[in-house]
Order: sequence, then C-alpha cells, then structure tokens
Amino acid sequence: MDSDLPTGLIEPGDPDYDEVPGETAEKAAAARRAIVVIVFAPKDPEPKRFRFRTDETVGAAAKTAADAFGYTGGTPSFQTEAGTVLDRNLTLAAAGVRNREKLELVDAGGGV
Amino acid sequence: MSALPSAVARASAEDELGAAWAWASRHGWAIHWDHGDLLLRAATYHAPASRLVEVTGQLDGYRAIPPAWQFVRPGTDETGKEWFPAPGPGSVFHGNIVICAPWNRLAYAEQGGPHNDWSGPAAWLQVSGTTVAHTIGDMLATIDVHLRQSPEMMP
Repeated sequence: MDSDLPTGLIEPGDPDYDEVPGETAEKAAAARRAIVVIVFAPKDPEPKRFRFRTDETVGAAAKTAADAFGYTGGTPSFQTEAGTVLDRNLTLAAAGVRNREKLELVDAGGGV
Repeated sequence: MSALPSAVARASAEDELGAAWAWASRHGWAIHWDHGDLLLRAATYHAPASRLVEVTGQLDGYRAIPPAWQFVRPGTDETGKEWFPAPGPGSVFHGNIVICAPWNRLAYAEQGGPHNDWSGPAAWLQVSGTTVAHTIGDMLATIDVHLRQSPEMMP
C-alpha cells in the first residue's frame, strides 16, 4: 500500500480496491498501519470499500461509512460477521479489525 | 391509521426489499413479503432460547408512518410473552412486549404504546436520542442486534 493514500471511501481504480492475495499485501497493510474493510449496510444491496487508519476509532470509521451510505443521525458502529457489535470507543486495531474484513454498518443506540 | 394509498406504501416498501433481502441472506434471516396485505414476515433462530423467532411488520401507510412490528408465534399472528425475546442491556425489547423504537408504530401512545413524547408516528423520521432505523433493512438489523443480546424468551 502507498503510505500517502487517503483514508475513507475507495472506488474502483484505487490500488487497494481489489484484493491482492498473499502475505505481501498483509505486510504492507501492517507497515502502513492502515487497512481496507468491506462494509455492508442494511439499506444497500452492495458493499463499499473503505481505507482506515488502524488507530482510528470504530465510531469515527463507522461515521465515515455511514455518511458514504447516506445515513444521517444515529450512533453508527460495525458488526462483525460473527455478530459482535464493536465498541465505538476502541481503535480499529484494539477492536481486532483485520485487513479486508467484512463488516456490517449498524446503529448502536440503545432503547428507551 | 394512515390515508396513504396502499399502492404508495407498497411501492415504498418494495423499493427497500432488495436491500433487506440482501441483509437477511448475510445474517441468517428468512423474509417473506405478502404483496397484497403489505405484511413482512422475518424469522431467524434465537440460539439462547433454542427456538425460531418471527417478527411481522405491517407496512400500510409506509413511509408516512412506520411499520407496526411485533413478535409473533412463527407462522401465525398470535402475540404473547412466550413469543417475545427477553431484553438484554439497553434493549428495545420491553417487558410490555413492545419493540420500543420510533420506527415501530406500536411504540406510540396513539397505538397503545408507552411513548407520547415522540410527536406521534407521522414524525418518526425526526426522533433522535434512541435507535435510528429509517429503512426496512435497518429496522431488521436493529432487531437482530438486540436479539443477539437477548438471553432467553420472556418468562
């Protein structure tokens, strides 16, 4: 990965858009301290890809994703494929988010 | 409840169903849409209770007003505590067997629910300070998040 690539939504044509299998890509992601995640949203049949710094919080990254999907308001977070809703206050690294992980955008607000 | 023509509600609902089906396929839910009755049925397995749970959404009036969501005995319209998941921490599942969220018509006082502080069902898209879900897929996703925190069915 190029260390100067911007974070946020990435589009086709971006060097990180398509997965490059193998250890090299993983090592590059680790060295750069940035990851690409594939985010699904319940309102959209198609996922979007995002590049985030691993020291970014789950809440900030989820807000970036929510904005890209056209959500307004709420308390966005990510749900893993195992169903766990990530703590918005943790960094992506601390939450254990991996490069190329598939995440679901969810609202983490509580009931009243 | 709403003077909105059924055709408008149907079009609004069906515009969102593709995304809802895609969501369901990712999360282990089965969805059935009754085009004529504007009724959505969504079912999944509630592992802590070792049983199937089913929620129905009545979508007449959608999106002028939110759907009427309720847990039912699977395959029927029967409601009751035995078909309602017990709440986990901060849950939208309430002990009075109401899914308590502004995107559920049945949570409003006008429909017998506890909330007279949300300016009525027609203002559902403006309510803040609680769960926000403005599409059918987002509503099901929120139900799913809270179901995963539910320890059992209501006693």
